Amino acid sequence: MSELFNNFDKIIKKRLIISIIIFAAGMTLSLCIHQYNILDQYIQLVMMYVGINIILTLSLNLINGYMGEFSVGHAGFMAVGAYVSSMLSVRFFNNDIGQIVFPIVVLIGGICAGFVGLIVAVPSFRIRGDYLAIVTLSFNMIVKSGLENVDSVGGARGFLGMSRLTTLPWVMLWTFIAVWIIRNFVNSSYGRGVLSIREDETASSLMTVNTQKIKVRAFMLSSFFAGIAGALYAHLIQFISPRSFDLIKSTEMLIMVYLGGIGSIGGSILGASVYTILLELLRPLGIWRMVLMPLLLVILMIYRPNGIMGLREFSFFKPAIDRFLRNK
Amino acid sequence: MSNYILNIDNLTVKYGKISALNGVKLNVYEGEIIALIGANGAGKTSMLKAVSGMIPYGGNIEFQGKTLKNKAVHQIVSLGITHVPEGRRIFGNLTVNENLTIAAWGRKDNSGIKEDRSRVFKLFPRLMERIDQQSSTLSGGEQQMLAVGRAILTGGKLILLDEPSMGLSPIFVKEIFKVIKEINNDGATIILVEQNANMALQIANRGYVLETGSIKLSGSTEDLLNNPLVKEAYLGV
Repeated sequence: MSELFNNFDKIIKKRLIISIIIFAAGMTLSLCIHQYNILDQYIQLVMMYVGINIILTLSLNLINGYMGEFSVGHAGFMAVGAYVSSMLSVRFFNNDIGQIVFPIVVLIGGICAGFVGLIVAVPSFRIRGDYLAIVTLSFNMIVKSGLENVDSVGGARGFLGMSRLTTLPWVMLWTFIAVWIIRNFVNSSYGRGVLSIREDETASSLMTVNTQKIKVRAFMLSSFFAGIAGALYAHLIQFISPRSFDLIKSTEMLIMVYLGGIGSIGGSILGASVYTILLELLRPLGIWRMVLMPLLLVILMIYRPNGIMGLREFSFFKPAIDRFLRNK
Repeated sequence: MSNYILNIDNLTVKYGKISALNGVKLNVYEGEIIALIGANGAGKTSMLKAVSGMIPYGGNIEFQGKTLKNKAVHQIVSLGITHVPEGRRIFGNLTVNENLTIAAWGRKDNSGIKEDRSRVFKLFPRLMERIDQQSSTLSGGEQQMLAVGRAILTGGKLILLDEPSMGLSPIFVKEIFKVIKEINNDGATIILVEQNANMALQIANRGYVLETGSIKLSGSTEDLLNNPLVKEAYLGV
């Protein structure tokens, strides 16, 4: 028995070391690329898109994949994060301080999105069913037309003036944070509660799980990360308009989630990367890529209806206890 | 056996205009096994659902002297009432281990959880063999074992079992009933809803016969087993 537990300790230790190595390597690499411009600017840009899309996909996967609810308006939360952080950057930190307070600005953008998520979640989780889809759908539309009509944020013309503060190391760092937090969240006892809601909400409440509370909190966490992604996006493109956060953007997120596979962190990373890179590779086709992309999705749905990973997971993202039990 | 653990008074349940239960009165002493028998549609499941707060009801239900009215399901369960719903309702996409972990979700006493875990594995060694298996791939009997195992891990003083023998082979039924008796010996009070009236009355202390929403008969199990009405309608003798 003690030998087994030693083995368990070994798995955990090994994993910790691997995680630290991956993190350190990723950060050093991105810092080097950024500092010495090793890679082409365009490739760097695509890499940053990939990172932002991974954060978005993870955030949506928490709701649609792990919790089994259906949110279709996550671009609305992205918009909140983007606008709040851009306003802060332009109105208050439009000088040298901007660079230093950038992480805080992004964080505030995320927190604001999280609170808006709370406002959306409380009424829509009272009843189970398609209500969340309807509420988030209309939320997305309200945010878009609301922003179009507020002149102080540029109205329909959009908002600009942010410096290009989003760099590859920042995106890399936030992506690591998102993966780490969401991975630990879904494997915590809280996250088990989220999974049990997806499986059977009634049975879950019979196991003393406070389903209402968990759903609201998971939704807040999800919208927080959507807001973070929005803030990073705004400081990368340096121009945001209500049109950047319409239903098409939300649909794009849904595509990445279902392409990668629901309920899987590895799937979210793969889905976001494959979709973003493929879209860039197909750029020479011009308007035809918008024909080819859906076609690829149709093919995927026929041959891989659960997405690339669908409810499966790289063992690296699973809790160590699982592997321990399997090898016992 | 003098303390009431559960007091049901004048319980009425309505689904729209149809009333499923009208004015049911039922008391459960600590440490008992109560068998609730009756035909389909007699209101057995509705009664359990009312106790665990899954459906709205009229009348009053008291658990250990405190009313359960207007409490959410998860609050009632944390007070110590565990409900094993009809049809098992295990979390199919999750592993056996995850199912058992979620069952102890609201508990803070880690040593107690560990103890109950080893108790479950002692009662059902099969679950230990299948610990890392996706639970929807278990056989029906194993799924029922998992459902009962979850109930043990939820750690209630009162366990409501809804048709634990449903869809099981006679050998499994015997085994499940043996385990129910063992759980009872370990200190839990049990309300058992069953179609299999014969088996249920054999392990129970007292029984109630429900018929179209009200209690027709009640008494010790010997009395019920010898009652000509019960014999004819539910035991098929």
